[in-house]
Amino acid sequence: MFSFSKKLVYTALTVAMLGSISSCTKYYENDLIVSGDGEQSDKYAIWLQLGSWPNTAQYVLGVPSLSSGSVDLKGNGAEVTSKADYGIIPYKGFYYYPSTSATTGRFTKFQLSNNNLGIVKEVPFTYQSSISGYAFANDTTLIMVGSNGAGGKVLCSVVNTNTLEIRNVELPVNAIPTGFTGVRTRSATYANGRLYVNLAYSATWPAPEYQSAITAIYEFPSLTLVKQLEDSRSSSMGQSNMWMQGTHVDEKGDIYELAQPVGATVTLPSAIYRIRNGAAEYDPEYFFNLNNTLGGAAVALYGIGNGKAIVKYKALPDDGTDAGHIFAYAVIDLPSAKLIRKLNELPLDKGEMLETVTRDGNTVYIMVNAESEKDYVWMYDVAKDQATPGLEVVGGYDYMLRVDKVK
Amino acid sequence: MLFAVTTKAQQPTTTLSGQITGADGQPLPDAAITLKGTNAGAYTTATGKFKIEKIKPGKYTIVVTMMGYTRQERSVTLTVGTNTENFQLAAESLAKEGVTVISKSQNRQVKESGFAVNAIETKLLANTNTDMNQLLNRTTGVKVREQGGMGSDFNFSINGLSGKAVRFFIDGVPMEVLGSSMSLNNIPVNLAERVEVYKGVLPVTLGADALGGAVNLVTNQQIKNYLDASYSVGSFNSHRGAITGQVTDKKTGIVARVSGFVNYSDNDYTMKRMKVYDSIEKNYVRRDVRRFHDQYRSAMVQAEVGIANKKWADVLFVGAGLSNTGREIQSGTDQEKVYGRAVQSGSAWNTSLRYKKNNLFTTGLDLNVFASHTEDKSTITDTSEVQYSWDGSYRPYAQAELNQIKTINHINRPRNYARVNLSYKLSAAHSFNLNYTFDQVTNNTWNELLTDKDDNPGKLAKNLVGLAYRQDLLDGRLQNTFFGKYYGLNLRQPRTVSGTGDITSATDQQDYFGYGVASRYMVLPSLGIKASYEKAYRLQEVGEMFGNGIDQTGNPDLRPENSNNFNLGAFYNLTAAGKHRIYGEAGVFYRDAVDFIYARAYQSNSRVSRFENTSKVLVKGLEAEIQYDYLDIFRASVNASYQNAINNTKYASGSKTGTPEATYKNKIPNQPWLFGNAAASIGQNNVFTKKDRLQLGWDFQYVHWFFLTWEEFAAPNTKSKVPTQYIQNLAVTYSLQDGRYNISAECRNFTNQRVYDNFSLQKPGRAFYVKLRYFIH
Repeated sequence: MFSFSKKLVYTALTVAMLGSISSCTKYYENDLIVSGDGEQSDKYAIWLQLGSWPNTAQYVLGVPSLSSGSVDLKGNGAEVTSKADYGIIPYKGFYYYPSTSATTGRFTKFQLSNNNLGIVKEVPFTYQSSISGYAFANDTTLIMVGSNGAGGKVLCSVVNTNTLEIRNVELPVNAIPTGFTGVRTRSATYANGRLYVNLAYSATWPAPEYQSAITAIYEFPSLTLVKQLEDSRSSSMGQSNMWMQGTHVDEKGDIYELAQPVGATVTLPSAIYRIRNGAAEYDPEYFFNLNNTLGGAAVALYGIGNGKAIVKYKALPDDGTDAGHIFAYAVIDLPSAKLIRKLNELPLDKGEMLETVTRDGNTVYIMVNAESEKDYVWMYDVAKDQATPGLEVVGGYDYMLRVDKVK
Repeated sequence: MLFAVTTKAQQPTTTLSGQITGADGQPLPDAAITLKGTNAGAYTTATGKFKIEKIKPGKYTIVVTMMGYTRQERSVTLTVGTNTENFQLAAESLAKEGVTVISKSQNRQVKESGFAVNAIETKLLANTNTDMNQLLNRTTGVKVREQGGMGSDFNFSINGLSGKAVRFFIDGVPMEVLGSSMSLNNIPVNLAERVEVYKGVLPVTLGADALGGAVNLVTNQQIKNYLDASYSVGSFNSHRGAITGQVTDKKTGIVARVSGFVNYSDNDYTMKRMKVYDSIEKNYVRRDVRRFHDQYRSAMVQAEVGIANKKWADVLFVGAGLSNTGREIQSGTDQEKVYGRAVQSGSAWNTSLRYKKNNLFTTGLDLNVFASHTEDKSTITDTSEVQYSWDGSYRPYAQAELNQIKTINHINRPRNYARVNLSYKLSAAHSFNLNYTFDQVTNNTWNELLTDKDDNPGKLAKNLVGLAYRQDLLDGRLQNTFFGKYYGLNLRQPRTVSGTGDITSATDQQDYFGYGVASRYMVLPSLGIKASYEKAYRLQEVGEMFGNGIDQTGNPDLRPENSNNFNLGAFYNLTAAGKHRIYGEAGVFYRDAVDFIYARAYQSNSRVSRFENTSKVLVKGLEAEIQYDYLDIFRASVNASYQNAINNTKYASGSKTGTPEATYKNKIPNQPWLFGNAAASIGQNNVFTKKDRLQLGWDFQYVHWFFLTWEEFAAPNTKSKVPTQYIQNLAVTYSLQDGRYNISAECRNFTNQRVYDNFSLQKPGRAFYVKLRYFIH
């Protein structure tokens, strides 16, 4: 009986050994380092999210052209889950990712090429945990603004995009008004040696935030406060995150800012304010009420040159979620505060908080997530005032998060 | 042809009948009776009776077998007419069969019911350093995904449904009744005698809204005295102690029971090739580091005192229990986030009453009552505005570690629970079971740094009624159980969340009805087939319906998660060959689950979410297991499970028509879909001295690699995967005096694999343990 047992022991051990040999597994390591000058980068990129909770995944797809053909994600594109997400900054061949939505405490410079979002350089970054806006002072100076977790401080980080050296400064702001719990930053805009930061004073939800459209103006690079502007005809100036744009600096150096009140009990209209080049006040002559002009609240503003801009607005009533296909686009003239026309040839779009517009020269690309029709990146020719379908995004992807001119 | 059949039918035949009883005279159901060298045979009914008809008269050897009992053979001569042969079987003694084989009859009865169920004897692993999760993870259809070492968070999946779809019980009572610190990842195997895993279809005796299945730990219900005490120590400064025992005072009939455990581990295992910043090179580099903030401790004691076998009560016990846990939190849901200061702690106490009376008022009417009150408190402390790195260094951070703001979050959950079960056996063929459970819990959550109580506590009461009717037909070969379940849900929140007009009311009563059937048919005494179905629910919770008043708004239109669950299976039991025993089972399953509840961003400009019925899943799969025993010397088992879960959500949220969502009908990502286990043990009695035993055990777990995200999309080289796992454990045990004294040494993951249940979350590598166990009964 003992020998029988022994045989079995040897067999068991042999099987165990076999198990250990067959284990040549490739483990996940999130550090495909690339050295790049941005030249290798894909020209344009589309960010997509697929699936419903909890199985959502984000992808970035590099494309050479947005004007024709079709593209899909089957075996194509880079999976970015646990690496980056669409809260990302595209600029001249690179993507800059402060990871504040992932809170991993790193700032990463990526280059997208050959279906690979490769790391160019990466440094620790824990000064901010929620960045709402950014602006470039010049090609190598990226300014990011945000608030701390508790919502009591306004934080600013100035990044050298070559070395990733970061200068961190807490920005002075006016005291939080009585009855409100904190201050949150919104968009950041840079023009002529000054940084314009939109702010909102928050209350405990569902109470509405402080009803005022606020811009704090700072000298740059000293970051001293010049003045904090407030106007109560609208509120929630700029965007609450860096997923879309809400301000524009035109060729004359005038700044246009979109205020878009939020909250179920808010009755103020969405509107555009103007700050003249070098002035430290809202232009008292200028208040562009977009609710009146468009018949629905505007949610994003993209300057397209020659004093014109594209606005994204609610063309149908809102059910409180961002899931409905209710958004449309219109072309407006900023200096004259007039509607040029609604782009009615585009199907209604889904999802407000998405970066669906990008501009390359005289062409504006608008990526539309249609409910029933095919999904296109539409091309709006600024000179001809004409919109035509460009690149088709095949597959019925949902959500369509960003379209970027990367290079 | 017709003539031939007629002729055959007219040949004289004989009938063999009789009864099989145990040593105590009690009838033994499901014992197998075969006539050696023929295909004739039968299974005993619930009354222990059997009948084999149409046998040619002559000389035969009758073989009677039943798991857990000594096999009997008897030579007889069967004459024309009716022959009666009765047998009395002796339970297999410890001396003969060793420590691994003790009364499997109940286990087998569960396995051979109409329900799809894994029934596991814990005795097989009682000398090893194993907790319930590790035990169950080796069974078919079950996958436990742990985030780290001892005491870590885990996700328990049965046939592809997990999370809140799976409910846990101890002796039919929800485990939450003992406090939230009790969980399958800290209960040592020694505390339960066996474990049942019900898949998709639940008997009414387990009163719960379990969408995907349930786990029921069954503790030792014997009346006689016993003591099982063990202690183990091992790698990562891990300690586990467990005790369970019972004493009966023969004079007064008073019984006292106690069970308890302690667990402790530093969990400071090595994390391989982690990303850390090298401030000299000014770059991120990969280094092996040790976990530094993952200490875990838990302790529980539960005691009961009462009487047994009185005229007015078969069992009457009062009980009380205490539990306590503490744990450091090392990382988030992936290893990119590292925490160094956040901690979690909890404590709970409970009191309970248990009463059982069989043959109440009339023969066959059994009453079973359980009632309890639980106070359960836990705290998560997150007050440091720092961010840690894997090398243990940290930097100041713009927020707290886990949350945006500093928090000391308290969760208090007082719970009242009652269960009344009435079973009535009308006859051997017809029986009924009526089960009622009342489960009420109040949920208080508040941040101590902002307030001193929950202004908005949710109260949830569930009234669940189940009625089952069981038939035992064709001499017990066909067993059908039909059942219906009522789910009454009462939700209350004293304060209406106002300001948005979103909430219409803060109290709600909802009613749902479920139903199902479980059938088993014994094709042969050794071969059975079974099928079961249930329309199952997972009810809404208070927070899901009403929000939390802080950053979650209510959704009064929320529906419960629900599913149509089907199982089909077969089992085969071969014990005829004497020293060899083979048991095999195989099954297929189908789950059509809809209305899964998840939080979604509500007003995207504010940080507010709302629970919605978002997605649908279709799961099909199959599983099989074979076990082989050669006396008590060798034992081996192998099993495999395959499940194909498909996203059945046709349209993205916000659309009801138009283009189907791209992932519609795609395989659900981030889910193991092919896994299997093998185990073997050999043992020898009387090795160095009389009544000793030396046993060597090996087990192997395999999980096939799977994609983290949707399979079809993105370039293959950019896709994240959870790699294939081969984990092997070895254990050697030496027992003295028929298993009274045991010492075992164990090496887990002896090939030192990098183990991942979840993407990038490394689990412990090679580890060693020694366990001492004292067991008398």
